[in-house]
Amino acid sequence: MISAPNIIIKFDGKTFIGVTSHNFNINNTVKESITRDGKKKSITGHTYAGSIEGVSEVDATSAATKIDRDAAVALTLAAEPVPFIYTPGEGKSYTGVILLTSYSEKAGADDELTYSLNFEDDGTQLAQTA
Amino acid sequence: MSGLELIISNALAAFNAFNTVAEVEATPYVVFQVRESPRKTRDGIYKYECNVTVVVVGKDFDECDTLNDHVVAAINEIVDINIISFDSQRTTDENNAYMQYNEFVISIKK
Repeated sequence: MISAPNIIIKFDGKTFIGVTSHNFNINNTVKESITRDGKKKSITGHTYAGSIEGVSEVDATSAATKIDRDAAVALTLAAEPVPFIYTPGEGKSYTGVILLTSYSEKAGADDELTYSLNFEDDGTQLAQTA
Repeated sequence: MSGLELIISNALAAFNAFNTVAEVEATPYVVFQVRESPRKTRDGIYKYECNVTVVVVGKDFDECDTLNDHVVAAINEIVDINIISFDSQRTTDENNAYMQYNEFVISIKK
């Protein structure tokens, strides 16, 4: 059993601050071709995407290792491809390059500010690492 | 005494408040209890969500009501806490004690 809190997603070598949950999906790209023998499907590659939710915090002291609220907004507005690492805590890790496609915040009357963001690959295929 | 217990205790200091059940001769008096549930992110605990029960005991409901208004006001005036919900109800027991039960759900930053 892999413990969910041990899973680490890094953008540009840093983890997000205050993470409460995340999603990560790999989807194979299926291509259908027609041959003399009929239709045939094959997998030509894959795409990947995901989301991260958490409690917003501003903490400049951890800027070397963490992406706080200010850095997350800056990263979104920068609109640049970002190196990506997915580490499940045990087993293999995966590296790729992602685009931060959206960032949103939720501010209720009573609770703390929470954030969620979505990302997807820039076309770079995931690579498995030790 | 935990952080919130101390805060509640200080807020209710003027009202003869106890945070454990005690043998008390004179009414009215106030008993309170705090149960803390931590809320976590992957970085650890960031706040506590607490059930705070404050019971005002008197010889009749009139005596309860007067003190209860002040007790509830004192908790509402505490800064640095966030009151998520509040419920209040009256009851009596076999010893003819008249009680006003106040149930707060309070969040407090770690």
